[in-house]
Amino acid sequence: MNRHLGFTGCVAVMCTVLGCTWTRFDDVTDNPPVERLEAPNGTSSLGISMATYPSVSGTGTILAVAASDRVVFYDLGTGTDPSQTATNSQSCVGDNSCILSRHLVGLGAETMTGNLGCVAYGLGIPKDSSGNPLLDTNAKPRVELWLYCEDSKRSSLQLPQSLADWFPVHPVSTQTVVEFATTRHSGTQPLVAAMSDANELWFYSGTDATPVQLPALPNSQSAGQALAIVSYGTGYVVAASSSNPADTVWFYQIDSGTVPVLTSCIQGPSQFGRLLATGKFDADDIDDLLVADTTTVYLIAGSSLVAQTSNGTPTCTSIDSAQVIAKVGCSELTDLNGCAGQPFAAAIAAANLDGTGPDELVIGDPNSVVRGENAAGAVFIYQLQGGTFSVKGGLYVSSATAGDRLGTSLVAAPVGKVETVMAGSPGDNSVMAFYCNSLLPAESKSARCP
Amino acid sequence: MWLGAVFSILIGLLTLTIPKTASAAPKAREITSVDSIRRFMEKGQALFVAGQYSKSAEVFETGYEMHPYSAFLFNAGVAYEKADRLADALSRFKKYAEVDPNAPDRADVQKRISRIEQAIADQNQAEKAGKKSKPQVVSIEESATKSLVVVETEPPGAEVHFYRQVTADAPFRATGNDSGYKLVFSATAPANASLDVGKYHIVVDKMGDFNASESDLEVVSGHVHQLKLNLSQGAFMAYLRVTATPKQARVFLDDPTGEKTPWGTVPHGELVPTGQHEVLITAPGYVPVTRSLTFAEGQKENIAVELVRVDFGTLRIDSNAPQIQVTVDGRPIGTWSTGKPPLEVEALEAGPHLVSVKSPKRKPLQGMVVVPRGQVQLVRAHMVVTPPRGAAWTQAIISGVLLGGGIYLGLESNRLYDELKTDRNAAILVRDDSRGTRGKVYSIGADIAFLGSGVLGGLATYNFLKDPLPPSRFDIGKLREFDSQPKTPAAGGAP
Repeated sequence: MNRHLGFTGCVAVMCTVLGCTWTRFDDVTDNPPVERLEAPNGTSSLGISMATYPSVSGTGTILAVAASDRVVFYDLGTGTDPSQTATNSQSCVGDNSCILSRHLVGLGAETMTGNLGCVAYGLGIPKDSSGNPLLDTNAKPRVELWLYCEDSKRSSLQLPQSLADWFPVHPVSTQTVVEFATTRHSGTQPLVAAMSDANELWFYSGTDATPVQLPALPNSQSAGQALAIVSYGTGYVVAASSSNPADTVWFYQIDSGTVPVLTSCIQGPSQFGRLLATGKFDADDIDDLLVADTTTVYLIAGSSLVAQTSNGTPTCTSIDSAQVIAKVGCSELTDLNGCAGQPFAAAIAAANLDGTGPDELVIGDPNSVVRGENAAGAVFIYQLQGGTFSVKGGLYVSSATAGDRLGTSLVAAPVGKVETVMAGSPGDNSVMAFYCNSLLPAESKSARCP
Repeated sequence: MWLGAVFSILIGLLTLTIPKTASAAPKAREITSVDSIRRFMEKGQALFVAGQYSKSAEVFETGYEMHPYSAFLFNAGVAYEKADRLADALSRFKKYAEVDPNAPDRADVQKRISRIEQAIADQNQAEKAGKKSKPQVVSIEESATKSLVVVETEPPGAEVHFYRQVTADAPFRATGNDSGYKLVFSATAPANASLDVGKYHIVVDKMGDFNASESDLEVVSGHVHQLKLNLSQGAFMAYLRVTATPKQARVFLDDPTGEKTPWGTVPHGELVPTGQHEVLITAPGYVPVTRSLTFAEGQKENIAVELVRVDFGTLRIDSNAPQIQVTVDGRPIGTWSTGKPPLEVEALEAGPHLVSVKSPKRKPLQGMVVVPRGQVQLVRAHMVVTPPRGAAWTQAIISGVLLGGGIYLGLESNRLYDELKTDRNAAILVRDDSRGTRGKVYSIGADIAFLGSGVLGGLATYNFLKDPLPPSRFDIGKLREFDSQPKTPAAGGAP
């Protein structure tokens, strides 16, 4: 009898000791540090590129995320409670009606079209309800640069005439490369665009919707594999990497009221310039340029680029001779191996994660092995300290599985005084919002953060 | 040898089971063809007992025609009366009184005749009045048939007296004023008498040189008792009468080991030669008693012995179960199975003994059984079926499996919880981490498993403890006397 009673008591003790309370999982999983933004039904490869722009209210932020055939919009709000599901979407299927840019560009207070905020997402020929192309005054199909503004307004910018003539008569597909870029910081935001197949590279000042074509590269090289705009007091330096040979970044100086000129170029290892981005890392007020090849991310002082002047056809300098502030290769952290796959980095961005001082470098590496999961992907955070990038942590998700490819795209979204990292995970068809990181100051930590 | 002078001292007490009725024939009539008498008596009595009174009466009448003993008439009257043929009964009783005017129950028969005449008159009157007459009610005493007692002596001609015992257990005293016995009939041997059921003492008077003789006789209903008494001559004999308890005790004369034919069964009295004799009185279950007696000529001796039971007994065990194994006081006795005679444990020391009985799929039985002194104690081991525990074992096993599953799920749940907590602290926990759902499922699964284990464990406990059937028990039967005298027990009373 006692044996049986002991058995029953044992069960009760077991129940007490061994997790009879399932609600504790709600306590630990509610309001998690990482928010997962889910793809709408029918969407694939969400997160191949991203951009943010101000919401209609002017205080919130809209996140635009490119998928394989559309752009999906999420309202990030003003804090750490984003809409987990899409609020809007814009189709862009990859034919001549719309070709997605490799990188979405968010434009705040967009004066060219008079909207509070837009995202530039592609090129294409507008069509009527019957599917027929709309024609211009010369009875030719109109070709436009597509913007999606505010909540649901579709707008457009005029293209250079040569591109408008080229586009309708050349086949295009999802493989056709269109690239956009703008400056990192808000205010008047110029827009540079390129379509390397058409060998077109053009620029919008941010105040004028008229496209300005940038000079062609020597030897019929085409620029526009990657683009970036370095902002300085009176003008911009446009950085454009060429695709053949794919080891050179070209620089155009655009001063207000003057004709853009090709001023210089920097050559580096193979695939040098495959990724470009800007941010403020040094003490001056000039954006600095981030350039990536397959293994390394270089930070080139923006001042050295601004100082270049036109002297005919420029002679490219080696990266070794360039004014490189710092460079960084792959990193390995606990549970993370960013050196497991090549190339290192699929997205680079500058972000102000600590709310003060210079930006931090954020590198998305979808090839990272996370907890043994190949290509689960991760985001590495580096801080420039004493001329060297120091890794300050890695961002990955607890549910990482092989092939998620987190870090394929990155954007630094403003949340209060700091920016938070949004990382695309096309393999998981989702976007992860990392509301906490090691650099986040205590006053900016939300309830999501430990 | 003086014994040679003795004609004989054999009292042949032949208690022949000739049924029923006796009739007192005319005094001078010789006893003839006892077997024929017996046949008519047996047949008539059998029909009487079977309730075929008319046929019974006819057989008795035929018997009377063949062997004119008044007992046949009397019994025919009784049978006719039972058959409600009162006129026939009346005529038979009248004839009985006529042919046997000295019958000891003559007065009773006369009363009976009067009663029957009155009953006939009542019937006739009732018939005249158109009423249905009431059937005759014959008392139990009047429904009894008589027995015929035939006493012969060698040589014949001795005077025979029949004394009937009127006071229970009173000893017979031939003083003439014996209030315990009443003289009911006297005749010259060979003599016969139609006697009622009862105890009698028959005395044969001294005749010439022949000594007197006497004997006890118990007359039962529907029997013919035939006594042959060989009278001894001269004064060389003595008379010994032995009474004892129990009454079935046997008496052996000059047979110290009791191996020969018993001298008699108590109470028993008989002439014995003078001199020294060894008297052995035995009864199964009692300690034998031996007395040495010396008799003088003409001496009459009455000895009364109260036997004491032996200090051991017998256990006789069987069971309702197909097979049992029995141990007594921890010592295996044997196995009994259905169809075999009960297991007998003889010569057990009298007193309580610890008896244990086991049987497959039955509840074991253990208890104290008191072994009587000098008797057989019948015991039936009522073995109750052991309740099946299959369900309890199944529940216990499932409960154990659930407990194991619950422990596993609980540990897994804890592991996942710890992982999630670690990831949350590392700021990498993502919404909808599948481990959260899995952890919940495991936790709930653990709860269900623990609950199920607890419930089934409780059920198993209940089913292990539950026993709707009563325990096995001993059914103690009646005590029986020994069939024969068993051997003395071995040391310690073990079988």
